[in-house]
Amino acid sequence: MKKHLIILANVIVSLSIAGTGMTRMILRDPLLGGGYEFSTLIWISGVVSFWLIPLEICIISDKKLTTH
Amino acid sequence: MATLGRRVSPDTTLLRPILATGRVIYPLVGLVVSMVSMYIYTFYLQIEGGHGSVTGQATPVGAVWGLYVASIIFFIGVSHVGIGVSAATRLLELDYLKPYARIAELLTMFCLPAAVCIITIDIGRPERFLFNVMRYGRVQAPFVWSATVISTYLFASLVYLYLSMRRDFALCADLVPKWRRFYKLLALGYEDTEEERRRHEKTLWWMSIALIPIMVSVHSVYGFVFGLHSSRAGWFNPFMAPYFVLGAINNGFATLVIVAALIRKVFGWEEYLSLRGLRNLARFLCWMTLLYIYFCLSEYLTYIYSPPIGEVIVFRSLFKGDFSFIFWPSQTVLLMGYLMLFLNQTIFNRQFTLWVTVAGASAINIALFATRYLIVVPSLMRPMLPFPTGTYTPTLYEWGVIIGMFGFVIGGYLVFMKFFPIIELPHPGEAERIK
Repeated sequence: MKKHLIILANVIVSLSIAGTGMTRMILRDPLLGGGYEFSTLIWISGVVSFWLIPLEICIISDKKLTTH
Repeated sequence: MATLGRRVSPDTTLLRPILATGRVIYPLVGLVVSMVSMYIYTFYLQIEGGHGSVTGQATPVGAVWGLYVASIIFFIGVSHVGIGVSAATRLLELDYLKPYARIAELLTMFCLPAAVCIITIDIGRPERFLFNVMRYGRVQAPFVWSATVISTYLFASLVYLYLSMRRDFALCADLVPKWRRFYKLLALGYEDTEEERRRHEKTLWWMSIALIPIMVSVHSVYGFVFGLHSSRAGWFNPFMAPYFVLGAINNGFATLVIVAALIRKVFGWEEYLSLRGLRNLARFLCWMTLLYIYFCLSEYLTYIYSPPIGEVIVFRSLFKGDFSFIFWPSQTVLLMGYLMLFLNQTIFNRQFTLWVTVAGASAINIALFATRYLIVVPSLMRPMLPFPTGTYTPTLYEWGVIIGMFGFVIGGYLVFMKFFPIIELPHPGEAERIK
């Protein structure tokens, strides 16, 4: 259960970061590119962090997360 | 020695490079270090004296992009094959290609950073480029998408490679006692149970599906970097992205055939890297090369038939001008490479020889490198403002950078092979199936 929560948290965080970055890039001044700085960095971080999910699926063991 | 309950194959043939170090490795390492130092030395000179001191690139007269950019396209093209082969192996269940998958994945892992290193030196002030793209990048800019797809492809490929290697780390912890702790640490508690194997296989299967569009987008973005220049003769072309992707597939598969044949010969792994696998890789390369030749012919035919004035100048320089001494030999070599593969697979099918296939793949790679140069430079030689036409000749420093990056890729393979199995250790009963 905890493993699923971690994966869900990753999906939400990655989508939020990537979505924020993309929205900010779209909102930038199309000619001069002013405002909303570092939105590209935010966008790329979001997209890249999405690929942590396969690692979480394979590495995190449900047994180890269960507290007795 | 406590094993983790997994069924370990006693055959350590595939671990030979890890367990013993041959004498030939030392001069090879020396060669690789001297090759890489050419890159570092040129970078130092360039920071000291600027682009003009080490490259033949110039502005406004001459070419602002040259051999560096041609090599970036080449290395990114080669990096294409990794996920391509791995995904085909998994999705189409081509078991005989499984031993080739990691060799291909490593091409991605080493060629993509090599391309990034050349981008870094080409920019001149890499810190400014990184900072400015990350800070001021615009959603419409191909370079923002280039940074996005390269970062994603590299990271995802790394995750893919790690997951496909986790079982091998756990096996190595048992089979290579001297580095047991190192491998155990990398295995992160992997126990090789049926359930774990199934979970890894399923995850890698889904990753293969997700990575294929990213793989295509990496080279498409580079096609768009050129194809979106509406006023640049020879570049503005809606087919630039598929043209680049096709070139990358040829590049990648040709390099994989060469690297796999070399590894097969050096380590005597004929039973693992089967002739059937190499033959099928060459067969695929053969048909992709034919498709590439078709793309080239239709492009040349269109530009010969009714070209705008800019294209007339660019293509005249290719066919009978300054670049004809590269154009005609490169097209001949491409055709020869194709014919070598084609005849080896069809008419001389029964006398199939590996060296002819490797020679054909090498010819295709050389021709494609020249083709990339011819895409980049001739179009830039035609000024769009009233400046005189310039010239561009790559300097020895520029060649040194390219040699340095080839050294980086070779060095990457050497280091990897010293610490990790380059062919996935077979599952129980799988070795016989592959053979």
